[in-house]
Amino acid sequence: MVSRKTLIFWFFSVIFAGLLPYLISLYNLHISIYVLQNIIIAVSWNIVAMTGQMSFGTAGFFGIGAYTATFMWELFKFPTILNIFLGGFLAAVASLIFGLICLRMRGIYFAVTTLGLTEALRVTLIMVHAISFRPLGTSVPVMFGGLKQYAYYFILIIGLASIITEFKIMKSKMFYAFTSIRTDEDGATMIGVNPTRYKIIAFVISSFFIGIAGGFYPFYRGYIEPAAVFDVSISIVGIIMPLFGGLYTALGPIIGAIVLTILSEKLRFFLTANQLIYGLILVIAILFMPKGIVGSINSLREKYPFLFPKAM
Amino acid sequence: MTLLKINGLTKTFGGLRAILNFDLEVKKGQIIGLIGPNGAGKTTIFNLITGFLHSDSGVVYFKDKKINNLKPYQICKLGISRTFQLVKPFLEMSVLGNVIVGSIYGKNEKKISLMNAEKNAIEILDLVKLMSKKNVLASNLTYGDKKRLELAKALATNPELLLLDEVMGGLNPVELSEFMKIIKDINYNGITLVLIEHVMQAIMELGVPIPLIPATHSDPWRPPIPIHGGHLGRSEATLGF
Repeated sequence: MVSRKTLIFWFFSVIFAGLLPYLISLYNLHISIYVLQNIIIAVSWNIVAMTGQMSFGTAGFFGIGAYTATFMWELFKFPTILNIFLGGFLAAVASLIFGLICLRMRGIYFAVTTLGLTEALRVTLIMVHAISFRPLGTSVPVMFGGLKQYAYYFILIIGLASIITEFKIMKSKMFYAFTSIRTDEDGATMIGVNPTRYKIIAFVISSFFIGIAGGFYPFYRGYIEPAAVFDVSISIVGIIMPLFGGLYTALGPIIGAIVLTILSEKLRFFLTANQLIYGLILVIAILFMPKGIVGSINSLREKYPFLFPKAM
Repeated sequence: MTLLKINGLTKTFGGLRAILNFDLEVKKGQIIGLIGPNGAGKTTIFNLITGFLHSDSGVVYFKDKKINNLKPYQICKLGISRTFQLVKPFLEMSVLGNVIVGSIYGKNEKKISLMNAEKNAIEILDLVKLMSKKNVLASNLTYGDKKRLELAKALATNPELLLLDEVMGGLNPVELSEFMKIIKDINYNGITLVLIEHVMQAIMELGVPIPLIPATHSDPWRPPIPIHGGHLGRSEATLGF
């Protein structure tokens, strides 16, 4: 099913990603890790979006993963990687329960509920700290003794896993369920698709990866506090990146995450104006490329086929 | 064999009676046409059978199994499929993709692989004569083709009973005669059909018309009139009032 060209493309991409730590500076490696973390978030959000649900709860599940991993380390002193995976696991379980209750809602109602979940969790965590007389921030040991290369390879493997999952979904029967629910839920139920079931499946898969990215967070930085992980901007980033790269496409969220993360980092050069410029670029991009980068390339290909060599 | 049996079906919408004590029996292999003025509750009956609405009272049996409180997708898996009057194609998918959804999640879910679903979908597109447009995006289809696609999606679920809600409304005479042929083919393949239709020519040619009465009428309705060979619009004299 997969053409040879795509295989070669992915082969070299993975080789390149694998060699990256030996090619770039430590600062750029840090940015790369950040890019990979955003790829996981963007790809996961896109999986939920494929079923037509707008989730503003990315930060909620990110935080659940982060705090589960932290508490697991504090309480049981498990090895780091186990803590991180437990974070992903608990985020998936939480999303299953949350989804069973809330995924019968459609559109804006679901979006607002997920936003509320994030805020509720953030406040709860602050309360937990207050009640137990703990300082608000927690320090944890940095994974692999602070060797950024190993942290990079770890998050690279998770990122690849999320990308492979997304591509598998795109090629499977589930793709048809997701797309039909998104485009017309009543039409889909009429021909036998159980919308709640597939929305929950998408939501759980997505939350698992977001939870792992969350669990990675404290062990990469060595420090965690509620406001940092239950941060609405994590949810927003997870929405903007797929939108910028191409919503509902497989490659869109990846491209969006790479471009926007690097862009926002490079814009630091402009000091206080960086947010303004970042915002302007987003507005212009969405005005002129409403279907994102991938969508624009596709429509360019339809209009001017001679620009693109065959079978690209 | 009785495929579908409805007893005393009643539905009110906030005091407005849409359907009152409706009875219907459909035998395997029949084509039945529900006719009646706008607001008589024809589409409501379809919605009640397929689980989009829940009845206030009355029972619906499908092959002697009560299906009143099932969800639409469960009813679809039992072998009842329907089309909507306002067509509901999946606009962002190709025509073939639309039909594949039905093939995968219809009556045979779990047993069917993606490859076989695609084969099945292609057969159905052949039947409704949409083969030439299988890779076109559904949003780019003409109105007549969208109606065909709606029929193809419903057929792809492999139903025993197919409920068609005004599939022939708004078609030109050429499309209409093609569509009638398709419907006859479908029935010939062993699928029982219930049609809602305003195109009387089609109803008279295809099957048994059952007139439906607006439940809100204050007068008790006259017993069903035998209707033959013509339009409901004839003067009362010719109908023998």
